[in-house]
Amino acid sequence: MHRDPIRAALAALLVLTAAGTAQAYCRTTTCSADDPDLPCTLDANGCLSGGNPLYWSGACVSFSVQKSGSPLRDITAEAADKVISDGFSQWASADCGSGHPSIGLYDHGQVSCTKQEYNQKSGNANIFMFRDTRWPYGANTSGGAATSAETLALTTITYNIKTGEIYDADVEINSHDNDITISDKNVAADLQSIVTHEGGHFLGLSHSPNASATMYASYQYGDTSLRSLSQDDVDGICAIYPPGRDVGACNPTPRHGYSSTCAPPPKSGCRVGAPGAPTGPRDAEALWGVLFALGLLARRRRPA
Amino acid sequence: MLAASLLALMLPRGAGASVARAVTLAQLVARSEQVVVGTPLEAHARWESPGGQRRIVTYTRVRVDAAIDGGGQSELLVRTLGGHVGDIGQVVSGEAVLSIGQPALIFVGRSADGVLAVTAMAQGHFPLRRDGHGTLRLRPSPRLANLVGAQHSAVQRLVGRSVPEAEQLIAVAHSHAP
Repeated sequence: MHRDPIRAALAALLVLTAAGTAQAYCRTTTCSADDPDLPCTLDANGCLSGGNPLYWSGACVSFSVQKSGSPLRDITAEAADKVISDGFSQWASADCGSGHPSIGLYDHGQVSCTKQEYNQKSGNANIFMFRDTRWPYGANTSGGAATSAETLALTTITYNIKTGEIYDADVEINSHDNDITISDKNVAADLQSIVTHEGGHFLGLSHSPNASATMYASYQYGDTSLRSLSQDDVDGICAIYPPGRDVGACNPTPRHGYSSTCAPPPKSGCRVGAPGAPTGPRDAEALWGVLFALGLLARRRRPA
Repeated sequence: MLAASLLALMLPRGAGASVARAVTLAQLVARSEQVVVGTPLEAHARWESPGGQRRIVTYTRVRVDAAIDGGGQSELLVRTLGGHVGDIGQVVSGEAVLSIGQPALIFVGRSADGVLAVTAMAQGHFPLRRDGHGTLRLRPSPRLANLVGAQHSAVQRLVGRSVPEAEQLIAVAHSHAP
């Protein structure tokens, strides 16, 4: 393990300049820049705030691993599962002073579903999955611009915008474009560092301005220091899930039940009223025109 | 260099949730169809399936205030991942957040299905804020990813710059593009 000394020195300077700030960690909130009722603002700590902070409401939350693992990077699902479990155990075993965080992690094992999805009418799973064959948000295959092929891991969190309760979380790992490793030798993009960081997001934390934190927004290839938590990370997880939180017994079942398989694709139908991706920019622009015509944009609002 | 690093450290960290390799300015320019200073005017979120993954996406209509590199349209329609639909919200790691009314320097390219997207997600989005002298300066996108190799990144080179300074750097990067 190592910490970048320059980063640490600058962090110390930052601490000096930020004297008096009681916390550094940031929590993810329901704020959305495109939602006029839940605008994002920057608080004194430099965190995006507005709306409600995100959290899992129960005593525990489950996670699953896609059963294929990453053949491309020679990482089995079993090996990935162990790494992910180790990452989560860092968070669950944090020392809050009066106990551990009141959130447990339950390993639901392997699933066949390969999609990031949240189903509002059928079962779900919180899946860690590798993308070996292509990154779905990546380059234009015709040779045009790439959008996000440089991404190593992408976490999508689905939540209730009124309460901040997290409904679902999926983590996609871009093993197609990145050398993901699990060994302690010849470390490249260290999976345990990545999933420990993503685990913080999974549980409701955002990036921390504290440069020594696992939740800090910078990482160097070969670095394994994010595998363990800093005090700032511990403070953050203990604030979200304080010991003694009255949440009853553990029920790891995801919202709407547990499902190891993906939901069937939605039936095709009306292009505007039902989900269905535009097939190209002209479709998107046409959709936009229809939405304007319907006056939907001006009334973009949460239902009561 | 020290000042730039310190500046980066002092910048706000957002609610992003991803890890990404930092892209250089040359890569960002080469992979973008257009670079504009634009102001998001309106947005609409919906369920969609980009890349076969069913998720919430937000379409934002962006007024082009100045074309920095390429393009020429007066408005762009840009898709970002995440948003609010009904009572359901999705926050997507490392994605650009196009705040309504907030001008920004934006690098845009075509995603695989032909829709305009912010190149390299939040790494291609730089909100503009006035400094104490009234000069608009580039800031990092609020949900910027955890960057790998950030010291040579476009973010490192551009954050803190004025728009004319950024334009000059982009022009140099463009002239060296393959």
